[in-house]
Amino acid sequence: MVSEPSLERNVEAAARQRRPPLPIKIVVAGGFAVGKTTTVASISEILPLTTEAVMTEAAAGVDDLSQVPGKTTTTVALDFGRISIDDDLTLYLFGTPGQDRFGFMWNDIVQGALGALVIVDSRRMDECYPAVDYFEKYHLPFVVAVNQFDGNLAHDLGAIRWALAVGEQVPVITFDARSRVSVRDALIVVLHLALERAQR
Amino acid sequence: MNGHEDQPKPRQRLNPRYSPRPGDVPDIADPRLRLRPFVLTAGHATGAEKSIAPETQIVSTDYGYANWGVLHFERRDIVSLCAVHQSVAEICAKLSLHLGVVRILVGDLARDGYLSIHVPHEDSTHSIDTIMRVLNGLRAIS
Repeated sequence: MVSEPSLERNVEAAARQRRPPLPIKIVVAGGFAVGKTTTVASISEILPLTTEAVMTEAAAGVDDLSQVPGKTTTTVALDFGRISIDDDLTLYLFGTPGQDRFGFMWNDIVQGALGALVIVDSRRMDECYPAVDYFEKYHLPFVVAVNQFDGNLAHDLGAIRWALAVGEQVPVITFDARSRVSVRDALIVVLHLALERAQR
Repeated sequence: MNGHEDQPKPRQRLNPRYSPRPGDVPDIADPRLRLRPFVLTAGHATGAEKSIAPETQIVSTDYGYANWGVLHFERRDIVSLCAVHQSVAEICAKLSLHLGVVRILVGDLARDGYLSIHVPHEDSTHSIDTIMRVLNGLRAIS
């Protein structure tokens, strides 16, 4: 009789034979309560997990935080999800913290990302501005995705693009954070941007 | 390792059980952190872990897989969990540890031969071939 632990051990031993997958990363950003966690949950194969990180308010524009005297810190949670593309490739989605005033320690999350999805609530447009500023500054390809909570938009996409003051190269789309297919399509737009950049 | 000679001397805490040793560098800026993260990291505030991103893949070495039992507490948990590869973010979430703490512990455990850290070259994560594979993988989701 095969006992349970040795079976687990065999499964584990088999998993150890595989090389770790190549991790690919897309950032999901936006203001407070615009649907970042919902977006990740809609498509992730695991329930969104939460990682806590200590963030430093003094982090804006400062490279080495250990050199900052009198820094003030706060603990924030980062949500993330995972999509296994194949045995060798895993896509990670990292949601940035909602509190924009802590947004500028995003370096850890954003470093090495293929691109970003900036989620917008059309009734509270201005909450996404720090994310747009950040990705423009660091030249990360990003897509503005207006979350249609109830099928309605407070402004049309033209007015939203005007308010955001983003260039023609930035796609502005609508999507539904609760729909897996809709989130998938939004991520595909991000990947097309990343592909265009890679082909240049 | 921690090179913080120019930082102020650790504040003596009211807790009589707390007595800083030479080289301990408590994070005096955040009282909520208390001593704990520095106990976990043996006093390191920064280390050689700069390349460890939240998505970086960690797996125990054969040595670590065979010997995690000699470790204690969080180090033991991390090496045991990493019998099968994990991202740093997953380690944090599953063990309820801060990202900064895990990066330092993983860096130390890799240095000591228990873990291997897979840092992909940006050329491979940002290649046209990789992006096409992710695109095709996403299109298959319904």
